[in-house]
Amino acid sequence: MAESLLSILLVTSSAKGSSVVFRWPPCPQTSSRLARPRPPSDNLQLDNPWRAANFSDPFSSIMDRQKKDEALLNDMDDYEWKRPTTLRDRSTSFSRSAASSSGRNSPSKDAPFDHDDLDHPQETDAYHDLFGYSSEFLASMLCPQRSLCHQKFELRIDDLVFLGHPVGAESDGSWRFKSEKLKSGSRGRGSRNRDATQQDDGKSEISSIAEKGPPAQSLWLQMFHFVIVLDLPDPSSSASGNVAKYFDVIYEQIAFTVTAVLFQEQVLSNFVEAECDILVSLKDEYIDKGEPYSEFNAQALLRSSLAPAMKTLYEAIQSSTMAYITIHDLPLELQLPPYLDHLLHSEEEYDLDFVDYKEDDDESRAWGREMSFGWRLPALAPWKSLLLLDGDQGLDPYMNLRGPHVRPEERTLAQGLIKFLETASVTLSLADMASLLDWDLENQIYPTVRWLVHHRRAKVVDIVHSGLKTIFTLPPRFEASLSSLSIDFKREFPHPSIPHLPTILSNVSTATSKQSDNHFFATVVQSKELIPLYHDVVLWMLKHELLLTLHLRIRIVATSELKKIVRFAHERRLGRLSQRERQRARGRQLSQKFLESGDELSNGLSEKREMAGVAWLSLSPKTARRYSRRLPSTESGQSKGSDMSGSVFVEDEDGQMYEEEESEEENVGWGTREDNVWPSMISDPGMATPLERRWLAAMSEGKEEYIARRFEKINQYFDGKKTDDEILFRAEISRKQLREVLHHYEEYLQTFLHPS
Amino acid sequence: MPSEGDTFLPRIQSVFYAVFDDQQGPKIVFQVPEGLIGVSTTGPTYGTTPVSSSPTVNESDVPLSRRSSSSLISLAGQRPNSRSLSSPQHRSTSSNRCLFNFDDISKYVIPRSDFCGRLIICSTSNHRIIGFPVALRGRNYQRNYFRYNLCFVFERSADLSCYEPVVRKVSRVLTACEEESLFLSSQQAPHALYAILEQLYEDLNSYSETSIPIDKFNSIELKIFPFYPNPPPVKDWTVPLALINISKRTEENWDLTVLKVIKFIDGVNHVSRIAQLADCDLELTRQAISHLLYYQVIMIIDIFQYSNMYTLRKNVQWLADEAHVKEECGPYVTKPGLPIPDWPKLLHLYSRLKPGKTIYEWMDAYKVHELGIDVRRFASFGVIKVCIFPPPLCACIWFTDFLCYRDFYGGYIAGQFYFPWKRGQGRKYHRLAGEGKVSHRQL
Repeated sequence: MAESLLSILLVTSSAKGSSVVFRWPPCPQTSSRLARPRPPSDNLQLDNPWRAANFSDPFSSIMDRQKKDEALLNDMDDYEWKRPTTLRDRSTSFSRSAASSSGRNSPSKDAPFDHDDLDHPQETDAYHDLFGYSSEFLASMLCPQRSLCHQKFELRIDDLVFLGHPVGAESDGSWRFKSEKLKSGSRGRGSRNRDATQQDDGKSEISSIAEKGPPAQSLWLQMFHFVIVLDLPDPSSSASGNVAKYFDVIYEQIAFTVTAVLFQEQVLSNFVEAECDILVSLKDEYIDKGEPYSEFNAQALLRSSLAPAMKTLYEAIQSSTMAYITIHDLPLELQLPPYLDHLLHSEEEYDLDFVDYKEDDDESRAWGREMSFGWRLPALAPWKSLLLLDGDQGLDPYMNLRGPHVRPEERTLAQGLIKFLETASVTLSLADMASLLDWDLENQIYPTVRWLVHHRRAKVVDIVHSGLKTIFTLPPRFEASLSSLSIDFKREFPHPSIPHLPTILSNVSTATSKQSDNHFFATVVQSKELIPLYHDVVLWMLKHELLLTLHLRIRIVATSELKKIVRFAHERRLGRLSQRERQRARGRQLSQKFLESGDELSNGLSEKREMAGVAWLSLSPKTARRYSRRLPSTESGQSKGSDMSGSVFVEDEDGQMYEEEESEEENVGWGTREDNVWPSMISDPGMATPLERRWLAAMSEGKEEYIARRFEKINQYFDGKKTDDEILFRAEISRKQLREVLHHYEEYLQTFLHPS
Repeated sequence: MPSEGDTFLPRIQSVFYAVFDDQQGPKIVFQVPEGLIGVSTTGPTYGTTPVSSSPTVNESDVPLSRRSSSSLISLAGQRPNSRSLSSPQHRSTSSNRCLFNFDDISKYVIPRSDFCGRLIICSTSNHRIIGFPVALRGRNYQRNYFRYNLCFVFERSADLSCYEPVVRKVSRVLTACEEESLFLSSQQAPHALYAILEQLYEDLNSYSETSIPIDKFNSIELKIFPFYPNPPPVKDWTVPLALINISKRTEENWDLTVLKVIKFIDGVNHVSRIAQLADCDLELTRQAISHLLYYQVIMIIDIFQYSNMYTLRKNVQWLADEAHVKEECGPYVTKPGLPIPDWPKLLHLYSRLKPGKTIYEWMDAYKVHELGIDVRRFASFGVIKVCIFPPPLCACIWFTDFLCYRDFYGGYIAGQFYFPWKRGQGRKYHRLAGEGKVSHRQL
């Protein structure tokens, strides 16, 4: 809900001047403002002697305070700032004709600088009074210069914000689409709220029509401006810049989109002018008859098609639902992001849940631009699952196809959608669905998911184990009161073996304190027969946002003992090497000499070396070390032997081994700061340093081969960031296999359980 | 000159003064820097660039006002290089760009009387113009009225909340001057106004404050305060925790209650206890804490109790790899003189904090007392994590709590019933037959 939305206006401008053609609601009211700060509720201004004299014990003082507060509230009237209503003063004080705007000659003394005001009796004030201003004057302010047309319009007057996108006719009075570049840009953005798959069609359609030229000629309309009026939100309640962002979203999602459609219809069929003709003549008729504004308003809703659309839009925004409006037979679906209003409140109120909503990282990019902000969507990833919601209209894929715009490709789309909906289940990941339906994940599944989520018919959730062995926890707050939820729950699940909702919630909330058997099955279901029944319970709870899935993250610890073992092995190897060194001292001297003389040659050969792998012997020991440092150490570990074929200078086998082993050993970083025997975390096993790799390898010592191999394969995901679902998906292993690894490597692994 | 990235405050692109001219209608009389706003009128603006562009006020005013501003939010970092600011005239000659055309916005700058006396912000495609149009009536004026507006121009994306009071005040002072001595309309001292614009432009951009004496009685004293959202209400049972060493930054002219209160902010005392210790009124103490909270030099945590419960937040996945977290945690949480447990051990302990498990049970299960860990500090380290050098106060203090606090409350008929994870702040929710939230301590 856009809690700040005050009104929606349609303003037009012609040679005769500007006017507010229609507005909804009929009499918008701004929220009250305080003229000065309220005194603290504690009567702080009273001095201490007074307080001492009036001391009362703390219990009765609460009552006193309540009384005082009430009195204060009654007394609050003069703290409220009253908007000066200029119109009323004027309408009684003097009268003037409306036509002239600058050619006044004799300023009257009592109102010396009012240019043009209408002379109207009191009862028609509603026609001309808008937010305390004359509506004609406000309309003139909302019709900017031509140079400010076709761009975002933003005007703030005290605490009223006017947002819109004024569009005007060309200088010759005709309505045309702008140049090619501008047109395609505006169409692309304008159709944002439609089905993503329709965008391209929409664009091409418009441009093809545009080339035909305008079929209808406008008579008087020079400019129209679809204006959203907002009450300036309290800036002190939110972080700096949020309010501007908030306006931007409303502008993009509502004002711009509606304007784009209206502009198109105006250009194509002079629609806006025709609507305005109806509304203006109706208004004049009702003013002449002296009927109240509400009568006009009711009649306008019947006679015009634009007026009810504005009403529907206003009401949908107020109730935070999707607005299904039809403008000149064009169905439009408009909505604001569900969490938009949270921008206006301090973090304390909303964002400090333990679930972090990162709105602008890579994860939300998968959702596309219009859903990346204010939607609080989880990442769209293959290991996520889809929960279908039962919307108000039910899931009727044909609903959008009833209009006159049915196209064959849309029909096939709808058929695909039905198939998709039948397959979707929270126990299936999106990747599973892709393979079941034989759809492409990126190009078919994701767009469908996006469409469903955007139309609030589904939401992306974490996959639920088919045996309900998923660990849940409770969200920080419930969307409804627990009592009403409990009643609904009981009505939905009258089965005697299903306990009350609070009992289930209580069990779920305490479950995580246990180290094992903390999943839903163990804590709530407890019987295999009940699993199908509880499936529905879980679905119901997920739909009502009563459950949050907890995820396992895994980190690897290199323990002190492990490090000691690795170091011991290293020292033993060193010992072996030094022994060998003594044996080979003479040979080494020779080879060194040989190598130094070959340095030049080796530099010249460097290009060849890059291509043909590393010719270890062609490098001086130092260069070789540098080179191998650039290689991942596993490769250097595997390079034994294989590189020998490429060596230019072949020495005897032992000497070669020696060179290589030494360089490898030095690469590992023995003796560096990293090389200690204190336990440490291997923060990113996928990018482990050579030393960390030694530790990882040492962890597998004495383990069964297949376990060790699996550990080697999946330890790259044990960085404490990837969830268990993600690991299972990426490593293509089963949950059981993962559990096996966790069990075997328990001493080196730390697990974390928190929501994502 | 500080670049725009250096400061929270938006940079003034231009300041201009416009009036409703009897012959020409709305027009710009002066703008600083000159020539940035396109004016199509052919009539000459009176008072073209004064040859000597030095402001009429003597320079000593500026340092004076600077000296007096060593408050918490003074933007001290910007000062030293600000003297090298090129004069606005140089700027205008070096760049020929035109921000926008005055005609486009003239109806918002000098509007009809309905809009006078109201703060108006209008926008062009790239800029935002904030002004407070004023209409004064009087028989001495040719048309019986005089309308003017002093506007500031900013980038379109600028957040103008901190400039709103400034614009209102400038307008108020100028109105007073005009009413007293026809300062604006007399045309006797147009250059004085130009100098005012110039000083507004330079001082506000470089010092964020200015002091411009206009006549004997009137002067414009401005200071721009960066904009922070209001802090949440301070509850008596919450514990303030200093994020910087406040006592080093105190000044004796601070509020007396604040001076008294900060001595007892140690991360253990709760608000009402602080009021008691500092011998201050409870409401005043709350307000003092609120102010400190507003400037983000303290944060609010919960009273530590062995019956508290905590749980991991998502941030733990990033913070566990942060070097400063790893390095600081051990020394901070360990009792003095005892060996410091290694980070994996501490992280493991953090990972075992779960809802449903009290600190007491957790200590028992993992033999925490044998490790020499100060559990209160262990918990508060988890709840907050403070950047080591909180630089200028107006800049950044990072809250990077990676724990979420849960307090024990067994209340519901069906048994223990936890509502976890209001961040850190350990609100205790007791659902009375499922109706709404009632804080446990309020009961």
